[in-house]
Amino acid sequence: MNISAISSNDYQLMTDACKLNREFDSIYAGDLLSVVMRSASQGCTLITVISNLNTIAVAVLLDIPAIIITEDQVVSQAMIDKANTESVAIFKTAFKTHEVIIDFKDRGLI
Amino acid sequence: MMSIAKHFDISPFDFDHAGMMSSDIKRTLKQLKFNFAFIKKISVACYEAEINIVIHSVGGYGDLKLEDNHVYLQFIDRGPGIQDINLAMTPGYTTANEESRLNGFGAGMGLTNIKNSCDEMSIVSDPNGTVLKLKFFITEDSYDEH
Repeated sequence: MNISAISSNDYQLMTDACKLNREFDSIYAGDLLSVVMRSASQGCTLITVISNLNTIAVAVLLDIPAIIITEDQVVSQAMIDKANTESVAIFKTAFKTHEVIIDFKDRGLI
Repeated sequence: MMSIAKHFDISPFDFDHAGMMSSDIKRTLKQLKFNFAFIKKISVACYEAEINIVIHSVGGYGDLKLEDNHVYLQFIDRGPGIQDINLAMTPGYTTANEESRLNGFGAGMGLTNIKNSCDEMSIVSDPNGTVLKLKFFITEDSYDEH
């Protein structure tokens, strides 16, 4: 599914709109980046509360096209710049992790 | 005969630049047409090793050597060393500080991830520093196209 399908009033796109051309085929939720690296699948959308440059670095290593930052965590300009450079989309939401998963299910994204 | 060597300095507590070595290596391996599974295990091990130097050491460096039959990674830091390597290898054991945890690390999974990713691993440590050596065998299964 195209990552542009994630967009809604509950998700604020932080990166350039032109980065929405990639596809995702699953989701993975996790805040321990070592566990994310071990378990997340290539091409998934990552749901996490960890909002820093390391999150982008892990996404790049795993070919993750989109990250959803939960609980309204601050997304720094450095993160946005890095994500744009690496063609990773960042969405920010007030939802908690489990609420994102429920929302994705309700909207037929998973 | 293929031979590539690269060197990367790694600074302590510099979370913002952690991962530069693994990103560079990922690009290199991708250009050489290795498949995602092979690239993932090397870049994950590399990233964990970089983070370990960032979190736990006073600084160090990493080296990549790529030859016909294997990829070799070496990480050397300048201390203060690992007090008990067996304990450090135990999943969940950590001496990381709060900042590391806020950055999504320090859960005690690093060395376990590294060990599970590579084909050969050796680690030697004393108060003057730690030397971590990793080897990944290149086989037919390392490529998308045979």
